[in-house]
Formats: sequence, C-alpha cells, structure tokens
Amino acid sequence: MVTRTPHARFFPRRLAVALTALTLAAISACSPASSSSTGSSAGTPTVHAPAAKTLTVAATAEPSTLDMTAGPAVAPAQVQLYNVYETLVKIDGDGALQPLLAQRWSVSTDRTVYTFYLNPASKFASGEPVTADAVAKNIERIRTSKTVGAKYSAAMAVVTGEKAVDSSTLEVTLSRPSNTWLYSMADTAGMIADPASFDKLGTESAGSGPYMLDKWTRGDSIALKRNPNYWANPGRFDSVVFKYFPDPNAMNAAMMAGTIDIISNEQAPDALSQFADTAKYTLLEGATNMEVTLGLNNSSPALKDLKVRQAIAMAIDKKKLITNTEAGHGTVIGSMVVPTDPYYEDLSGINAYDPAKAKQLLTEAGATNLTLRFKPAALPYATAAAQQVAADLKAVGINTTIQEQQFPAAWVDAVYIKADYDLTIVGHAEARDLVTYTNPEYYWRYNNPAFTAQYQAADSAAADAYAPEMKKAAKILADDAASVWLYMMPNLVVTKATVTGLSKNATTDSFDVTTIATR
Amino acid sequence: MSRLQLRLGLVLVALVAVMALVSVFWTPFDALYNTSFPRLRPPEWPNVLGTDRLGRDVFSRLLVGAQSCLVVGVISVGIATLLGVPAGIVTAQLPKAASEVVMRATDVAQAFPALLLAILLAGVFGGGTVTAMVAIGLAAVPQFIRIARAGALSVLASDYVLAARSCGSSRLTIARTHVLPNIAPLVGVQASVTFAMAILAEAALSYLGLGTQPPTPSWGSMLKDAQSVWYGSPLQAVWPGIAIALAVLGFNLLGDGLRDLLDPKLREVT
Amino acid sequence: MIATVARRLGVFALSLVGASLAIFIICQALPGDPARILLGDGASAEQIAAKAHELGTDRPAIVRYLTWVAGMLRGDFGTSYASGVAVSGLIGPTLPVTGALAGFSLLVSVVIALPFGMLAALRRRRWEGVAVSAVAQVGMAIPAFWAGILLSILFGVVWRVLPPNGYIPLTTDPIGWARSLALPVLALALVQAAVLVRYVRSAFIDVLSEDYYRTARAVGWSRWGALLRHGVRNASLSLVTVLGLQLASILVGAIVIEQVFVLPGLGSLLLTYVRQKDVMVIQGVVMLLVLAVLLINALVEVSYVLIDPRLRTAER
Repeated sequence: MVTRTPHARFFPRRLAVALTALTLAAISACSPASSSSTGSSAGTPTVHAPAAKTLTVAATAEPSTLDMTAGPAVAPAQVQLYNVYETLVKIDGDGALQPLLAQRWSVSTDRTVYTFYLNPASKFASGEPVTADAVAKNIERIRTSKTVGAKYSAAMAVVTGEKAVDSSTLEVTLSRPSNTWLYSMADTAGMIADPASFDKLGTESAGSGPYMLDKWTRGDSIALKRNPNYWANPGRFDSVVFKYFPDPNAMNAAMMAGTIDIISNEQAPDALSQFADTAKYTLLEGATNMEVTLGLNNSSPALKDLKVRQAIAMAIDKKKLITNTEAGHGTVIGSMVVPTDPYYEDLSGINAYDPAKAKQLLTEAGATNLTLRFKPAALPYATAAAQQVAADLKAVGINTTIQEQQFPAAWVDAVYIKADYDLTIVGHAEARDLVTYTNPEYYWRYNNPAFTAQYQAADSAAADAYAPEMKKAAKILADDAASVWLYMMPNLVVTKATVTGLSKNATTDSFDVTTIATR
Repeated sequence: MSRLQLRLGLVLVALVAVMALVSVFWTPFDALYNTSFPRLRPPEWPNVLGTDRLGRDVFSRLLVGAQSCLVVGVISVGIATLLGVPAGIVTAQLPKAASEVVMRATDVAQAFPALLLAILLAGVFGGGTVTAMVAIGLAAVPQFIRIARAGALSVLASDYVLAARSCGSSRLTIARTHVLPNIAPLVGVQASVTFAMAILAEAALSYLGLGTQPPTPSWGSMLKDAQSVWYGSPLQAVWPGIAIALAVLGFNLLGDGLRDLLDPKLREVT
Repeated sequence: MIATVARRLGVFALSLVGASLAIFIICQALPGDPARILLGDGASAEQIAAKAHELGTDRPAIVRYLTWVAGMLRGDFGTSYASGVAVSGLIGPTLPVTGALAGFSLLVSVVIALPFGMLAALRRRRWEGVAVSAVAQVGMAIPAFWAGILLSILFGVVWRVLPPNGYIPLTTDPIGWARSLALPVLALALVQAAVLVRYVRSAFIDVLSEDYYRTARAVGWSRWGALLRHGVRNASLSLVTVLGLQLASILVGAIVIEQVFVLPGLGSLLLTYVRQKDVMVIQGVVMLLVLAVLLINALVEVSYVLIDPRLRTAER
C-alpha cells in the first residue's frame, strides 16, 4: 500500500517551503484558530482599527487553480491551508500535532481505529456546521475521486472506512497501523471543505477557516478577506493579499520600497544584507521540510554502481555549496530527513566530502572519464547549486553536461516521468517524503526491498518505536547513496518590523497567516 | 564620417573576436569550474573584475561570454544567409504570381520576431544555445529573401545578364557568376545588422533563462546573476551590459560603414 | 482605393491563416502528455485517459486545429490545460498592461525622437547633429532589459523616487498606475527613441533637399518653421512605416521588460505558461502577438494610401 505513495514534491522553489514554514510555528503562542481547540467559545471579536487592515505577503509561485488537491503543486495550499481550509488536526511550528476542527481524538489499542470528536461550534463560511458526516465525505473524496491528485489519494490509501457515529463524532478505520497517516490528515490531504461545493473548489472558497477568497487577479495576486462567519477568534486582517513575484530581486525591491509586509521566503539570500536594519525589518531563519536533493538515477548504467554513487556524494563540498548558493544559510543533511522530523539524526558524516576517496572509488569502479547528463530544474537555487556541483564533480574527474529543465512541465516530463537523466536537482518540499524511496517507479528508480521493509515496519510500529525504526530506514538510504541530499532549504523570512507572530519554521504546505499580527 | 564608423566598427568587432578567440585557448582562470576564490570579491588582483557568487573570475567569464555571443551570431546569420539568399535569387526568377506568394509568406514569417519565435521554440524543445541560434536565424530569413530578391531583380534586368542569357548561359550559371557577386555587398550589410540583432536577442533569451546553458557564461545570463547580488556587488550588473552594448555597436557601425562605402549617395542620408 | 484596401484585407486574412497554422504545428511538437503532467505522479492509465478526454487532447490534430480556429473567430481561445479557465479570461487582464506599456513607450519614443531627429538633420554638419547621431548609435546598442535593470536599481532602490517594479491598475490608483509604468516605459522608450532618431533624421534630410522646402525658405520661413510646416507631413510617409516596425519591436521588447519590472502583461503570461507547457495559452498569446504585428503592417500599408493620394490608384 505504502509503496504507491508518491510524495512528489516538486514544488517550485523554496517558496513553497518557505511559505509553509512560517506558518505554523508560532501557533501555540497566539493563534486565534488553534486556541479554539479547547473548545467552543467562538469569536471573541478582536477590536479592529477603523481603517481596513491589510497584510501583503510576497510569494513566488502563483497557483494555477485554487483546488489544493488537484495536482502536485503546493501553491494553492500555501495560500489556503489553515487560512481558508482547516483540518481535523494541525501541525505546529515544532512539528507536533495540535487540535483544530477536532477538539480531541483517540486511537484503538490495535491502532487501526481513530475516533475524532469535532468542535461543535465549527462551521463553514456558508454557515453550515462542520459535521462528522461532512468530514467523512471529505476523506472519501480524497481517497476515491478520480480528479484528486495521486499523491493525496495515496496518503489516504490506508483508510478502509469512515463513519459518522453522531453529528460530531467520526470514526476512521485503517487497514493497518500507520504513524504517518495522522500527519497527512493535518496537511493538504486532510483539508475539509463544504461537501456542497466539491465541484467548485477550483474557483471558490468552501472552507471553515478565518479567511475566504476575495479576488484573484491572475498573474498578480490573490486577495483573501475575513470570513464573517468564522467560528473561533476571527482573523486579524480585513484583507490578506498574496502577491506573486516570479523574480526574487523584484520581491526584495518591493520590500525595500515598502509595498509588501512579508517576504515569505527569500530566494536571493545574498540580498539579505539590505534588510539588516532591525528597526525596520525582522529576519527569521528557520527550518523547512525541503531537502534540496541531487537526484541520482539509480537505474542509469553508470549510477547502478554503489561506488560511483558514493564517489559522487564524497565529491561534493556541501558546506561550500551552502555558502555559495545560499549565502551560508541552510543546514547540511545526510539523508531524506530534516531536523524538524521526529526521526531526525545527523547523518551528514556518511559519505562525507572526501575528494581523494572519491577518485579512488571511481578508479576501483573503473569509472574514470565519466560523462553524466545533468538536468536540474530551472529554478534559481537549483541552477546555482548545479553549477557548484558540476565544479566539484569536475574536480574528481566526472564531466557533466547541464541542461536546465523549465519547471514544472519540462522537468516533470523528462526527469519525473521518463527518468531520462543521470543527475538532477530539485527541492523536495513535502513533509516526511522518505516514503518516495519505497516506490521503484519514482524518478530515483531506487529499488531496495530491504529499505521498503524497514520503512513499512517503522510506519506500522508502535508510537514509541516509530522514530528509532525510521532512523534505521533513513540510514539505509544514506549508506546506499540513493541520492545526494545537499542541504535543507533554510526558511528565510523578512518582515517589516511591525509584523509579529510568524513561526520561524515551515512544517506544512501552508503559509499560516492566522498567527500573524501587526503593530 | 563613414570611414570613421567603419573603422570604429571594425575595431569593436575585432575586439569581441579577439576576446572570444583568446578565451578558447587561455583565460586568467577557468571560467566554468574554478570556484576557488572568495565569492563576490570586488575588482582586485588577481580578479580584475571581481568574482561572482560562486567565486568564479568575472573577467574570465566575460571573455568566454564573447564566444557565446559570436557563435550564436555566426550560426544564426549563417542560417539566415544560406536559406535566405538562394531563396531570394530563385524567387526573383519565378513568375510574378509565384513570386508574390513567396513574398506574402515572408510577410507572415516576419510577423514572428526573433525573440517571440525563440520563446515559442524554447517552450517546445527546451531552452539552449541551439534553439536560440535556430530561432534567431529563421526569424532573419525573410529579410535576406527580400534583399536577395530585390538585388537579383535589378541584376537580372541589366544588359550584361541579358547578353549572357542570349549566349545560352544557364540560370544557375547566371546566378553564380553575375547575381551572387553583385548582391554580395548588400548581403554583407544585412548580415552585419542581423548580427547585432542576434547578439541582442541571445542576451535577452539568456536573461530569461532560455538561452546559453550554465555553467557556460553568456553576457545575458551574467546580467541575470548580477541582479541577485547587485546590493553588495553592483558593478557586476555593469560589465556584461557594456560588453553587449559594445559588440552590438560594433556590428551596427560596421553595417552602416559598409553601406555608405557601397553607396556613396546614401552617405548623407543615413 | 477601395479595391486596394479590400485586396490588402484579403492578404491580411490569408496571412492570419498561415500564421495560425504555423503556430499550431510548432505547438504540436510540445513534448509530454498534458494530461499526465497535470495529474502528477502515480496517476493510473484510466485517470490519464479520462483527463485527456476532458482536455480534448485525444482528438485528431486537424479537429483540434479547426476547433481552435473556429473558437478564435468567436473570441474564444479555448481552455487552459493547467488552470482550467478560459484562455481569453487569462489574456484579458493582461491587455491593458501590455497595451499601456507599448503605447506609452511608442509615444514617448516619438516625443523624444522627433525634435532630436530634426535637430540632427538640420545641424548634421555641426557638432550638435553629430552628437545626437552618435548618442543614438550608442543607444541603439543598449539592450532594453539592461537599461531596465539599471533604471530600477537607480530610481527604484537607490534614490527611491519611483517604484522599482510592480503594477498598480489604473482603476485602483491612477497616480500609482502612472508611477508604476514610468520606469518600464522609459526603459523601452529610450532605446526605441535611439532607433527612431536615425529614421527621423534621414527622413528630414530628404525633406531639406526638396523644392517645397527651399521655396518656403526662400519666401522667408525660418528653417524650423519650414520643417514643421511642410516637412512633418511629407516625412510622415516614411515615418509611418518605421513606426509600424517600431511598434512590433516594442511589443517584443515588452515581453522582456515585463520580466524586469514584474508587470502582469502578455509577456509574463506567455513565459509563465511556457514553463507549464500549457499549449492552449501559448498558442493563444503567440497568435495574438502575431495578429497585432500583422494588423499593424496592414494598417501601415492602408495608411500610405490615405496619406499619399498619388498611391491611391497605383499598384504597389
């Protein structure tokens, strides 16, 4: 079952991530929405200044549809998850689960039946209550609808049934225990929409969150307005505008000119020095779920050889790479795991930088004079990293021919679908995406039954064995040099000094504005 | 004046050619893979124009950038000439109706400017030097057809061609011995102007990320890179721009100078 | 005269058919199955087939071409694969942006080029004229996007007198709108003006040698007066041709300038959807740009006839 889970996350840039990051973190501190977990008492209206209050967030990738589950892109979720659409549970900035639409939940002793107790006050923007029946219809839609993107259906594939016990109690049955399922329920795949509007998700808002769609100006921005029917503490802003800048320098210029409040993720880290004045700007640096990965095609003739893959890993000076491409921000990682994952351990020592050893391994493998096809996604961070990687590989005698792939379409076609590549670079922004290595059809073309068995054992393990077992799985990948994990994309956020409440970490697909306030 | 233009044009074109040629054999440092310098260095010895964000020598990259510029120019002008000139000469000899059809087709083709065609082709075949050269070359073909046809028509109407024809020379022979040599200067002027256009188009495409592939430097992509570091290293947004402008200026001056030389009557006018 | 115009229109229509065919054929070569790319990884063959049917990509090429052309005649450019909305709905909001950018750039370039071009013609043997020509020669060589980058950095970020990028709709804030267009228009117009100055100069040099100019001078008109009174109308014939060409090159230049200044225009739309390989949008935008260029050419030819009565009967 798990094998089909494709968490593809080719999300464009760090944006995705970035956005995401900010989101949750600070929730615990001041989130109007999440605090409702304790219940009920909806809507203590906050006092608003008479002038309309607007928050303008700069982001990189504009969605092509508002339907968060239509395809693999995370851009729709950045805008809407938690802001427009809520989930039963929410992931906070430390990566922990918190109540949202569900006040609490319980798990059966065999860990296959989850019972959720919904907040009786919760209702959609339309005024309809969020009932157990409505939630059941949402889960059913994600796992059975043909129009839902494959990665979301796959995340729900472990569910065998969902049943409304009464109007606010929901029972979900899994085919086997799964530690990752509940995390999926807290992310995009767990979105709860008004079932009456399932066929209009691409163009309208049908959520229960504090904001709803106001106006979408294609090619420019998406404006959200306050949901007047919100069931908990209402949003602090009359209007939240996500403004799209395909170019990071333009985004920086807009911040300098004061036309935006937040740079959701700084794509040109070299420019951060212009925001050094703390009286005017606040800089946040945190974690994301994005592993910037040098993908190796494990099925290509040269890279089938473990020694060659190890040599490639050892040829790359990741510290220098981070210095040159991210101005020193970012964290070196050694497997498909980021520091905010519950099963993180530092594996960067495995196959670490050692060009002499790399050359020796290449000689042993008989792979001198190797030329590899290098197809990075044409995204700013990937293009820069690809040139640094090519330089490092050249130093140990591996030649590369770089051919940038326009993102998403050309990259998806050449690399992701056809696996017509030797090396590629793209950021994998999805949370807990270790699972991609269990799918031999995934573009890594990595097929190791031992890893898959270990991964499944970890997913089904008792809660306290989850992390230790998953660590073993992560280490298998690192030893195998299945890919080269270059670094964790830093979550670099710049805000006006008047903006507060952002989380420094991005732990889901969402850019959560519900925690943000301005002075 | 025109002599001065011609000379200045020749000097600038020669400068670009020398940069490109020298960089084939020697650059101060490896322009593609040597990332050993401190990054974003200001101009100081040994990096006379500083270093870029990966710690590569900007002067070396500027030299190698001349190669991209010249290669794209030569190949695209070559494509345009090789397709356009024969087509133009043949069209000149076609019956009036057929000739009209060809000219209307060139009208339509001229509605696809180089950059638009290149973006379209880059969408289909992916960006890269080859796509850029083909697109720029194809976009310039109609102008060469027009020029070659106009030139050929006036040559074909001349007395010596009529004489040659009455002596039984074949069309091919006439085209080779009379038409081509006579329209060559016109084509040369057009080639020079097209070259300048090609340099601008290649720079724009590389700036958009649809041109020369990394790590090979191109002046357009260097400008793109410079934009992300201008705050600390503003000069990096200056050098490649100057290089493009000088190269384009050189080919434009060369074209103007050539034209004036060929047609003294026009000297006053242009 | 009517016959000439009608004939021109016929040629124009045929050109459109040729251009649409060329665009369609090129777009057919786009690699990758749109349905598959849209659905993401792990989609089943059944899902892909259903999506292809929904998009209409499973029909024969000739049917798709005819459907596309028939739709365009009704103003319907089809439906975007990626976003599922009407292509005309995507294009619509970009037209005022690109239209304003191109229109004002042309206007500003003419306003700059006319006086300087005339100056360069009148004083062509003095230092002023030579200087104007030299500056124009250099200006022509400057890539507009480089000018844009430098203007954005200097005016937008260093001196902070104008917004460095971004677009404000006219209806939201007219002053903000004008300010947001100022730098992009300047970047495009300066470079275009340099090209135009040369044409204006040569057109007026022609005028200077004409009898009517000499006559006007002889009866006491000043040099500028004679040029303005008699020269402009006579020079306008050749200038109209140049302006037509200019407008075409401004439209293309706008694609790049929109990137530098992040303007939500036609060029930005095109590049965004090239990245997504959304054939319907690419086809539609390119067709529209080509249509604009062909239309301008046709108008230029028709305007010859209007400006110059001698051409009304003559064959071209």
